[in-house]
Amino acid sequence: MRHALILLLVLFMPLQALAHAQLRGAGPADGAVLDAMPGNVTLTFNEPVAPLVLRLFGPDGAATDLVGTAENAVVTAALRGVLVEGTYLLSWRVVSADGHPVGGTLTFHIGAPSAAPPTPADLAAGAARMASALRFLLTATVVVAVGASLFAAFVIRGQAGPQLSRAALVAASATLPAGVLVVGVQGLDMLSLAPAALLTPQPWWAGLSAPVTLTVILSCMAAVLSAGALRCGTGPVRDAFALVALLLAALSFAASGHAAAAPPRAVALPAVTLHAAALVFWMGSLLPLLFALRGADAAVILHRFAAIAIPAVVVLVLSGATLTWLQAGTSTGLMGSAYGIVLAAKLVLVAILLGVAARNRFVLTPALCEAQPQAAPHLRRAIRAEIVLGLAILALASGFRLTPPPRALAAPVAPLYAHIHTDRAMADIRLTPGRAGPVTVMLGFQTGDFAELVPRAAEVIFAQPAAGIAPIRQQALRGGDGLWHAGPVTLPLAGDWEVTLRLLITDFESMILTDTINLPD
Amino acid sequence: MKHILAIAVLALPFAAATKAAAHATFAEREVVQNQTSRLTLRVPHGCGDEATLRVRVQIPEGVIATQPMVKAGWELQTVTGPYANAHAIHGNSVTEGVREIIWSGELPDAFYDEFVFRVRVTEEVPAGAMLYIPVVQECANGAERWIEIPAAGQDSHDLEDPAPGVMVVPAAPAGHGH
Repeated sequence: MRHALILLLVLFMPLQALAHAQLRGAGPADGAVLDAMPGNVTLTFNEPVAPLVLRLFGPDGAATDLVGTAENAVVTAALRGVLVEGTYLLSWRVVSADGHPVGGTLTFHIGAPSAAPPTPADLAAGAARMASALRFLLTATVVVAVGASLFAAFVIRGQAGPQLSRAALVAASATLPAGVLVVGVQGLDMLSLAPAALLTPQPWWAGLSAPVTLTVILSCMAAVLSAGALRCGTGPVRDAFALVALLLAALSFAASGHAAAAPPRAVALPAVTLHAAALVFWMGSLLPLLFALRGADAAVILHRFAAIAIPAVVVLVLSGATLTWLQAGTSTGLMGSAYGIVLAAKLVLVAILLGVAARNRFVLTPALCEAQPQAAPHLRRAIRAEIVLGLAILALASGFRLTPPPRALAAPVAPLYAHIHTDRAMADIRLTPGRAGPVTVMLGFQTGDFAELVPRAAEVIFAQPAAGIAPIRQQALRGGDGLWHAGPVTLPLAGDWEVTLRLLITDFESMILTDTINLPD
Repeated sequence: MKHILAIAVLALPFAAATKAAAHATFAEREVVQNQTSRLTLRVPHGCGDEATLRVRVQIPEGVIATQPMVKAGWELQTVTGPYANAHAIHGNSVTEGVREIIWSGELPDAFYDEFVFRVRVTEEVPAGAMLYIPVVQECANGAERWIEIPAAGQDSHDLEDPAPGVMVVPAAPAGHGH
């Protein structure tokens, strides 16, 4: 709480007389290799400071927030219960007496440096599972809300029954809180924080910057529009509202997630949108169908439903196959991977669901039309089974979030290149491998008019202020190849990193080049 | 990938009105064009925790007739060289002068000191703008370089190692002695 208050003060107070606190020393020292974990970590500054964030990333990628105490210019934090050997990163941020926050990252090793220092995949698996469950809840509420108005508009073609209207209203009202939680938990996942941090603004800001926010906004708009459509009577306005709600719901699926990000996006985006539109209609119709079976004109409604559902299922299967092919590439990438197992489970359930649906259409619906007494109860039972299967499939689809698709694992990780061009200087940056984790940095410099530029010293600084990662500094050294080399430096998260190059040209002249590099997962 | 050509953007959303106390700064706020002005360089700390062994000041173009003040316990050196443009003082043309001042001695990290010199800021330096004078503190194993000059529209508080600066003001039109 105290930290949150300091943070608020720092963010909102116009401050004067900014003296920058400077780190004078650390125990353990940066880059130190220790035999055993020390009892505590100390940071010594040139002036009194108050700690804001001390986040320790362990060799397994788990992040722990340490409690720091400040005495004069020394910040001390106890390292309790830390036993694993390997590489640790301490991202620290302190505020000096005048309110200016400064930060940095300290790296030290226990025993020996980890072969694979903290990687983003391990960060906050708990938050990732929570995010996955909430995403499922959001999808379910949107499907029920939008499905109800679509069903009323295009299958019943009349007034929705009171049961259906009530179900749609409940689902639509649940969409907003579910969506808000999705944003917060996404932030937890990004910053690898504990759930209690939802009481602080940090995860919310981080979550708002993520693409999932667009998904949440579109979902909420779709749910509200659909609830509105059900109150519009039976005219063409209602039908139009229902269609727009379907479009927004479908786009919400395309706004975030692995699926829509698969190259080529010109194929992936429409495929995700069509897949989502078909599934929203089909899954969203199941509950209204169950209600409609109690009515007098059940047979007519079943026929109208089938007339739309059969093309929808074709779209669903074709778009699903396209997306699977884009994600997996060849089948070899799927074998044994977590993604492959989730996908296989989903396909088995889809096959069963299609079987149940086919029986409904070709056996039970004709039976109902012939007014066989057992047809209606059988059909109700079958639709309930479809609902359960549908929910299980949606849950599995939300679970894809937890597993990187084979295209991410199989593709050799190409270096990431960036080029900065200013009037005075140009820099070529190469990060190898071009993804989050330990990377080596290679730099080449030229003057603005392509002449040779040999700085006396070069420093590269990485920072991700949005995720609360303070600047990580590395001195680059000139190699025999004329290029400058730094690292390996561990960039713990994917996303936009601010890269700053500080070149010393003469004793009295420096050049500073900055760029934002998007580091993939 | 977007290229941001801004120089030294450290995303610190603060409005700041006064100079940073931990940076090397001048005690004076302003200098008057075409007058001899005294500048007092304030050095608040060493490099990390090392003692400062040399203080070097680079005199920019348009700043002439530089004279450092001697300092007890410190050896004083100057580097002279030609100016880019000739300047007229009292009818004489001046084409060269001090381009760098070097004080050598020892200033422990925990102590504070001031280094004084006189300059004449000519009209070549625009009035109404800050004049930045790069300074380097050299220590046994490193250096603290106050050499970053803000680009147009940039605040010097956004720089990590800003050069100390003073505001240049035009000379009063009348009552000017010589």
